[in-house]
Amino acid sequence: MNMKENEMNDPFFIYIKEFGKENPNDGFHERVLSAIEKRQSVFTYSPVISSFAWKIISLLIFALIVSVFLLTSESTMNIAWLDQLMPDYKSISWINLPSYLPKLTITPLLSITLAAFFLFSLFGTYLSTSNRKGMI
Amino acid sequence: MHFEEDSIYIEKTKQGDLAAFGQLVQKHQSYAFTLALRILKNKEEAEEAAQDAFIKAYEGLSSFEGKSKFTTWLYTIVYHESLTKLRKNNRYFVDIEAAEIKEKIESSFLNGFDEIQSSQRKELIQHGLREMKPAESAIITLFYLQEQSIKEIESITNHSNSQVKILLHRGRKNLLECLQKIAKEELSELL
Repeated sequence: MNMKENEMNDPFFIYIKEFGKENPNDGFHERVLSAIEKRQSVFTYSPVISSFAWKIISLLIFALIVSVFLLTSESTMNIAWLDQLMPDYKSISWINLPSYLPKLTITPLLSITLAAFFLFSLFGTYLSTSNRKGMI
Repeated sequence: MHFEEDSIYIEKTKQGDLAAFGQLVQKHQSYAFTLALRILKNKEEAEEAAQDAFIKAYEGLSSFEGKSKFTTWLYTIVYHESLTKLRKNNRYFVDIEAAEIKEKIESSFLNGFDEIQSSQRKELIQHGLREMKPAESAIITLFYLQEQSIKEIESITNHSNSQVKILLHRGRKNLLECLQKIAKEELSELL
């Protein structure tokens, strides 16, 4: 049954249409547009360092750690690299890996600073998420 | 005011033309507002709900693939935005009992209803719609005014086919009863 037939059989089609639609106050669409513009102008977080840059940085750090680790092994210093790297590689003790790394001494002041920084960043994250929820 | 097809405005909006979205708002604002008003029964709240719905529509327009009509998609947002507002005020309930509903449209009353003046009839309908439950008046509006099919109403309201039919049927019945009641009161006042 199409709409026309419905309208013939059901008088409510006529009555409800006759009553028609209601209109919002004047300038409704302008208010919608200005609300959209306002939301667009609100500062949106964009990281200073992009994800691609972070990948490069991670790769460099990884390469640095590996190179430090390899260069501390005496044998690798003397031999031409690519051919000789693999046999040495086998002789390297991975269990002693931390001993190759520079030792970091954490003073009480440094640990307090790190803890404070951690708490501050947690608080900052909480504030930003609660603000965003409020906006939505 | 002459409007283009929705798809033209949607494409332009997706390309960053905010004015095109303004046209889309102007084109659909009355129907969106009417639907919100039927649910919320309050002009200020309805305007707020319709505004929020249009903002959400703008923000989600990139996800609109055109599989359904734009109006169906928009009314879905308006409907749920209005219900959220209604729930906040603890005024929402949908009572869908599969109870037996008697098909008893009182034709004599409807015949008489045809006879009265259009302005009077509009007033009675307005009164009747205001008295109706939000879920019923929303479905009545979607079906009769916005000409959405039962299937489209199902997708807008997230109700099943039978639930939509029950609500529509009950809405029609309640509106009729309400109209009869108001008409009787007005008639007794005249006498």
